[in-house]
Amino acid sequence: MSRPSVTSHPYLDELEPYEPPDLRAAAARSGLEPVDLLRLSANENQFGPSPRVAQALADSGEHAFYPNYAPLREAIARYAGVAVERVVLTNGADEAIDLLIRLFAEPGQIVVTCPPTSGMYEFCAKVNRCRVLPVPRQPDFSLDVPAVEQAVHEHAGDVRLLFIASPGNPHGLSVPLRELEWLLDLRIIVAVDEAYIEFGGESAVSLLDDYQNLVVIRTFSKWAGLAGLRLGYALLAPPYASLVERIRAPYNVNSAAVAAGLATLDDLDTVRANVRRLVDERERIRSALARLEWLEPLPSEGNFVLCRVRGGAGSEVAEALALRGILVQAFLGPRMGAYFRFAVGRPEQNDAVLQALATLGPEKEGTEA
Amino acid sequence: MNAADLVRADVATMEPYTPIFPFEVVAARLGRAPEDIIKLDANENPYGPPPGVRDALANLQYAHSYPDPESRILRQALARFTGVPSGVLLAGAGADELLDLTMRLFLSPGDSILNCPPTFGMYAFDAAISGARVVSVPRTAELALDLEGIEAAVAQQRPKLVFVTSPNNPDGGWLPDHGLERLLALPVVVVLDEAYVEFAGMDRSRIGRVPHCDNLIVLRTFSKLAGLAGLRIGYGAFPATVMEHLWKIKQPYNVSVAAAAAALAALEDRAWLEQRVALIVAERERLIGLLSALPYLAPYPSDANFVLCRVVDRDARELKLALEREGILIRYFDKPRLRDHVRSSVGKPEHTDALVRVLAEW
Ligand SMILES: Cc1ncc(COP(=O)(O)O)c(C=O)c1O
Ligand SMILES: Cc1ncc(COP(=O)(O)O)c(C=O)c1O
Repeated sequence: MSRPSVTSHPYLDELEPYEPPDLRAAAARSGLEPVDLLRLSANENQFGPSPRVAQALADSGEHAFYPNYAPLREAIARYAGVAVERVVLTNGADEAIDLLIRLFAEPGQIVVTCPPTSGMYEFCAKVNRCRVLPVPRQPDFSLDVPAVEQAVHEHAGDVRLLFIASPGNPHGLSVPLRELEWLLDLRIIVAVDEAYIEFGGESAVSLLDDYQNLVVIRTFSKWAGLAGLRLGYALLAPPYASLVERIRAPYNVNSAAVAAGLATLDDLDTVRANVRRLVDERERIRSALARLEWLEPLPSEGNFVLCRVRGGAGSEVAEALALRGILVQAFLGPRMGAYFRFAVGRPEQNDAVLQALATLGPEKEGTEA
Repeated sequence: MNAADLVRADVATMEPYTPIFPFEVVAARLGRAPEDIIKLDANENPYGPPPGVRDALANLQYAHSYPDPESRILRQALARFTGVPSGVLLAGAGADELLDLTMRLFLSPGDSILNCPPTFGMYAFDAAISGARVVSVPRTAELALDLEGIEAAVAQQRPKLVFVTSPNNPDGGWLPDHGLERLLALPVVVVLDEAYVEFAGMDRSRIGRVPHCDNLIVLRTFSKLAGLAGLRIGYGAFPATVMEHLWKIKQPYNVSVAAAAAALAALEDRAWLEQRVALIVAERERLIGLLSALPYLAPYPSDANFVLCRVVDRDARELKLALEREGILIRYFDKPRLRDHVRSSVGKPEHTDALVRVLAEW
């Protein structure tokens, strides 16, 4: 008798293992230690979390016990201005994406994405054996609303969810609420990923009361500097929220994330001051980079800046910066090959990026080799 | 629009998992401070984590950075701790996440798992979420595995995965070697959940067999051994061919940097862990002795950090409620075969004393 095998699932062949950035290789090339690299490739918050977080983690007596989510759920409801019944805590926004697909889509059904966008929607759709229907954004990265609508109608009944990041990664553009309302009139779940909302754009939370099919996904990874601790949440209609509560693992969020989330929400002034500094720095970077002939920095409402390399490839710039110990994210493919993206850091880190970029550029390429 | 319209049909009708009530909630209901509650309902470790964990968390450098998707440093430490190569080890947000990942990997809708109740509730829960059927082969009257029943069910129903727990939750019973051999000879993948294995003996895990066996998965956790239930950190050993696929479906940032740092700190203090395990094991035996002296309780022998008792000629739920009124939480299961049972974690000696004091007067 033969044993069951995993390889009998064709869906596995479509999945590639996630390739983390190879810090050691980058470090080796730059001659620096990995800890000395300036890692601006993952949109992390270089100010780090509220200073109260470390103490809260150390002092929490909760790590030995399976967590209690009620206090954090209530604190988040207050922060977001919604009823607590709408809040579902998740192990990062990433897990919220997975849970939503799990709840709303059966294998073979369709998840719509609007690339270029975060890869997690496609990843989670494939893990859940759903089909992905990409409806590309316009050349200026705004949503192609008529095309989304047409795609949904063409696959009527099969399309279950639409994921829209606002502000979007990698471009930093947010979606006007009236466009979201247009899409919300389609009979599908519209998940608006507001991972960067604290840095700009208008939140869709104000639409929750009017649209049962709206889900807002948020995270503490960016504004609160807690990417490592994994704390995200989804805001949705109470009947749906109770269903997500039913399918999530009973202890999906860890006690450090709970303690850190509460400490953050208790120290909003500090954290918000850091957010304002990042926003100011973002604008400073953008105007400085706009002066470079070979570079076009795009306007952004996130904690990052996307740049187009005029007549060149984003990957070349990323490689040249890596040699200087600065890690940024380049993209592949015809649409995004000319771009690279980097997180806004602390002022001195941003100065280092600006300085490095000032010494690059096509006219200096020869001296690089 | 009606909310339920857009939900997966099988989810809409699914039974929810009933987690224990958070003890702050119970404390508030009982009008007690959380410190005045003795929590013996979730098989947690009364000693908490080793002291190095606090320092590791206080000095956490990279809370703002995404975790290493491969948990490389932790997996190397786990390789030293378990003796199996890091290449076949995967870290997860608790053993819970690895149970779910395993099911996602093997099960298509319509496939089935084999479950041996009474046992840990998450196997049936995760199977339902994966749209899989659950073939149940109940344990015997002594709560041992019904091996003949399992063999027959495997032949008839062809489940892909068999879930077995050793020591089993809720009774603490051990799966003997000959039983494991018979399971491994079947055309199934055996998922052996060893969440409590250290309380059976620090060197009794079957994890070392995984690299030599193409149908064995062993799951373990820091929740019980190291007092880290809150931080959500578990690990599993998988056949190499399975690992390759697990990497594809695992969320890249499943394990938090706090969990990884705490687990590493715990592994560095093996002596402390072993001392606490020894205390808990000694206390377990003392607790079993005291419970069996009560006329209405029949405790099971246990290899874990908890003790299951049959409640003879009295109401088990009433017993649980009576203890709750005194600020002592134990577990009652409103499930077939268990309605006349209660389960208590093994606490510190003073917890045992408080528990037995109330029981003696009930
Ligand atoms: C648009 C978007 N959503 C979600 C995430 C991930 O959030 P989390 O860290 O909470 O999983 C990211 C991270 O880069 C992102 O860019
Ligand atoms: C048998 C068994 N497996 C797994 C778990 C969960 O382990 P973790 O906390 O690592 O998710 C438990 C928790 O009670 C358990 O009893």
